[in-house]
Amino acid sequence: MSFLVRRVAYSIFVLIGLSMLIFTIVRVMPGDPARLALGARATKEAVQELRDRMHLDESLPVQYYHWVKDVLQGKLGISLWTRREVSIDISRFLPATLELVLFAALIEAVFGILLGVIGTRYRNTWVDNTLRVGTYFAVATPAFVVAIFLSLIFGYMLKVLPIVGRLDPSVVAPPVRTGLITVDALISGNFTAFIDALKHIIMPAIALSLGGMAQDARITRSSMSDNLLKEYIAVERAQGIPPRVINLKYLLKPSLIAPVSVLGLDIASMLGNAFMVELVFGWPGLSQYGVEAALRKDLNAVTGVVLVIGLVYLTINILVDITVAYLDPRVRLR
Amino acid sequence: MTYITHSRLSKSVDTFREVWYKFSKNRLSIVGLLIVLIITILAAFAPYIAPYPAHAGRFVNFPEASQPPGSRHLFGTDVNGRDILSRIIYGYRFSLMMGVFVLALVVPIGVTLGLIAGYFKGTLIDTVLMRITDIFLSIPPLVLALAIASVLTPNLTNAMLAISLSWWPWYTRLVYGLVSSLRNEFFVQAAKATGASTPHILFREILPNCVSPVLTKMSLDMGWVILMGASLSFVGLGVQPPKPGLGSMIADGTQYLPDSWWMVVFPGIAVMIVVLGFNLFGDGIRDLLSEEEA
Amino acid sequence: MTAEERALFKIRNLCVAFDLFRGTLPVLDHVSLAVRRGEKIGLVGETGCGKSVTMKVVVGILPIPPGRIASGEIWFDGTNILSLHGGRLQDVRGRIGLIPQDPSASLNPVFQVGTQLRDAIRYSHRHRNLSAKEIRRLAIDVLAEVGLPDPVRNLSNYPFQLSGGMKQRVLIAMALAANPELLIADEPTTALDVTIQEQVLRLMREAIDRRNLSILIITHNLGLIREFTDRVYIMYAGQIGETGSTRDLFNRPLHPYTKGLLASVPKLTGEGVPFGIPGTVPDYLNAPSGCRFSPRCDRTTEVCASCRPEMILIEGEHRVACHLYKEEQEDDPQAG
Repeated sequence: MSFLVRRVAYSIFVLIGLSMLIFTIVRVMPGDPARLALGARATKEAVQELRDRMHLDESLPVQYYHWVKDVLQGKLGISLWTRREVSIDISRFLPATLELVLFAALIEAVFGILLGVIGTRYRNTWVDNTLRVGTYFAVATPAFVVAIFLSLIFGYMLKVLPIVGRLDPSVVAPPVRTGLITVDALISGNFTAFIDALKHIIMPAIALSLGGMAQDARITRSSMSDNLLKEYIAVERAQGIPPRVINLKYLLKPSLIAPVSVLGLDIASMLGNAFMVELVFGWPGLSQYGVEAALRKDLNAVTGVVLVIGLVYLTINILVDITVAYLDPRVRLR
Repeated sequence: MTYITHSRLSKSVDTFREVWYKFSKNRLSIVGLLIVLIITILAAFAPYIAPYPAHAGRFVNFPEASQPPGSRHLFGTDVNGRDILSRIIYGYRFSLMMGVFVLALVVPIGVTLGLIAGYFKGTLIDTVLMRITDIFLSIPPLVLALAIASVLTPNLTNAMLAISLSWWPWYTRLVYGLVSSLRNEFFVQAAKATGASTPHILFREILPNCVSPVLTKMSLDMGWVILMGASLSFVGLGVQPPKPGLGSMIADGTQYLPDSWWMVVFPGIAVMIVVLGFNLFGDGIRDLLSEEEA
Repeated sequence: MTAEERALFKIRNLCVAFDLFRGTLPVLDHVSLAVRRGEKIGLVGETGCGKSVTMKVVVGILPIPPGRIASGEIWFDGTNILSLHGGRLQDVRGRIGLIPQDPSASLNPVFQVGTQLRDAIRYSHRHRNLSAKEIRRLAIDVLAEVGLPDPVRNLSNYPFQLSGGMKQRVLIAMALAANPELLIADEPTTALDVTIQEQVLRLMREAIDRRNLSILIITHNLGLIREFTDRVYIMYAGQIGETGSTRDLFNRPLHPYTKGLLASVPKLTGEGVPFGIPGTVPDYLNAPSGCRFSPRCDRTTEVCASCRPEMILIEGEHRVACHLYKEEQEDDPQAG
């Protein structure tokens, strides 16, 4: 329990540091953000007014102070591009990205570990070797390339899966409960929507998870093969514990520690890659919003997005750490 | 594990032949090495190898625009009539440049910071350095790179800068972990006892023992940095048109799917191959170096 | 029935090889030994002599590629273990208990001690279909038997929360819980502090006496052999060099290796620095086809390197595999 408290406290500290970092980066940018926002034809007074409102002429620490004050009230500023509250924009787009990342993480964890176990079971046979080669290719292919290939094959050529968006316009969207369309569809019993949402999410999720899946498979396999040679496994065999029990219980649990620990990093790269995958599939998510904001130098939006992603990432890391602590008692009880 | 002390460092450098023998035992590493070599040659001698070097810049040839792969243009042409194969070769040039630049910047800085933080573990220096590292690591590197690149003018140099700023913490963390355990070993205590200065201890005693993991990471990282570069140029923040970047070529081509599939597929495969090559090569280096230690 | 035929456990002419990249290593060369009921037998040799390999083959944990059982038999109570498979093999193996060498490496670090113990009990008594409560009761009883303080609490502890001595007790408990007839102890003293060694050895001796067990102790610790065992086998480079009752062996070592071994032990009395045995560790890749000690033996003859010496009975139970003792040979009821 104190383990948890320490982790959370530390994460908050890191989050604050992150806010300072991103704030500094964004505000020291060359150019005048106010003018950029208002356009070349805006009057000098209008620009100055905006500058005053954004405290752009004051020193950096002061700016930061104002900004923190706002953030704590839930105000992330106005997007210089959409003209809406950044917090509103983010809350609109975040669920889509979360749904995608969660799906991808699920696929990655389940299939990655499964493939790793299969590779260990059939190690040094053609199954194992095929998997090994496959993982090399999967890891080397950037997510957006996978995304494009997938949409090319399944979307354009075979025409079995939709290429754009989260839901077909002809399908009735379920009432928003969690913001995750698949979950909402299930909750409201709308199976047409559920299937349709699934069809839309499957390709981007696979694109996002493929690299991490391959990584997990490799790590699981190597962790498992290493543990196979550990003395305690041999001793357990000598004590008469049947191989099936050893494999599913005594070998599996310690071997899961490595892939789960890596899961956090994988999710981080997923959050990053989501930017491009969302672009390819027209997925209306936070990442797309963030990239657009970045390209338009929309300070507030960029800051807001980075902060939110940082928060999501830190939360996920805490969850991963909890799982690792569950798997490895040495971590939690030392 | 035998430790490399200052006096043994020169003797522990293997002869080339022995290194090659060990490396070549793994066939996949050979494949990786070959890929890396080929791509390096392509990049270095791009003007001489590419069939249409002029296409790598500002060039239009509308009669030949959007041609599918054929005898004149092996990988087809893009909407401006530029030969895709040539642009890929030049694209490799930029990718490799980016990788080398970023690593050349990141490794010395990251490693040095990690050395210092790890050696002075428990002190203020350690706390400050590692907290800063943690902050940089608190968001996905691609996100950070995007954020940084977004506030700067989009071009190759700034993309490299952005990636460098997101990448250095990994080396710091790696070396920090290594140094924290190494500093308690006997040979360090011995050096201290004989009055060696701190820089000497750091760079002549501890650093050589960190070389293997760092080298391994570097060879693997080349692929990732190139990947990041491609991702950045995919969204428009890297190599700027009309210069060819693998990522931007893919981005441009997406609009013309599925009819002009070659505009996307070939650059996509090109990215995959270069990353694959460095991954295999890096794995080979890792196996080679860890075998030596065993 | 001869003494050997009555033996509870015996290994006959076991040859084990390792097929490695650089060649085939003929690790064990015609190893034979026997353990009768109630006997305490020692298997002695330096590190790398093949005693661990022998143990692993018996217990069934030798990694089969690259390991390979080239020839030989392992008999337990009249059945050749090497010809058994599956459930029957498991049943026979359940009658042999292993006390492994390194307590810190022998327990699964992510599971509670009780979990592993209960599983060991459940599967070695699988025919009895014990209930969970009965298994737990058995676990607590056997932990108490090995002198583990607060057995109930320790069931839920993880290995890293126990000291080395406590872990060793747990491992002994796991071995005893299966109600074996033969114990095999692999280097029971090596990984422990001296003070703990004493306790653990006493515990083992009591358990053996109380349950009327036989034990095969594998070690390089001659002091342990002298104190603990009835009969000893001396092993060098995968060959058994000499065997006999502990007393005979220590009083009159015959094999040049045994002599060297005994002379190497530092003693509290007599001259200070002990002798070593000149030469280096055996090279299995280029082992002589005859006696493998011949490269280091100071009394080697031409025939030693090429012709493997047979086990010759000298007197009583004392046998030696060495060409030097041909004349003293007596008729051996066990020969052949």
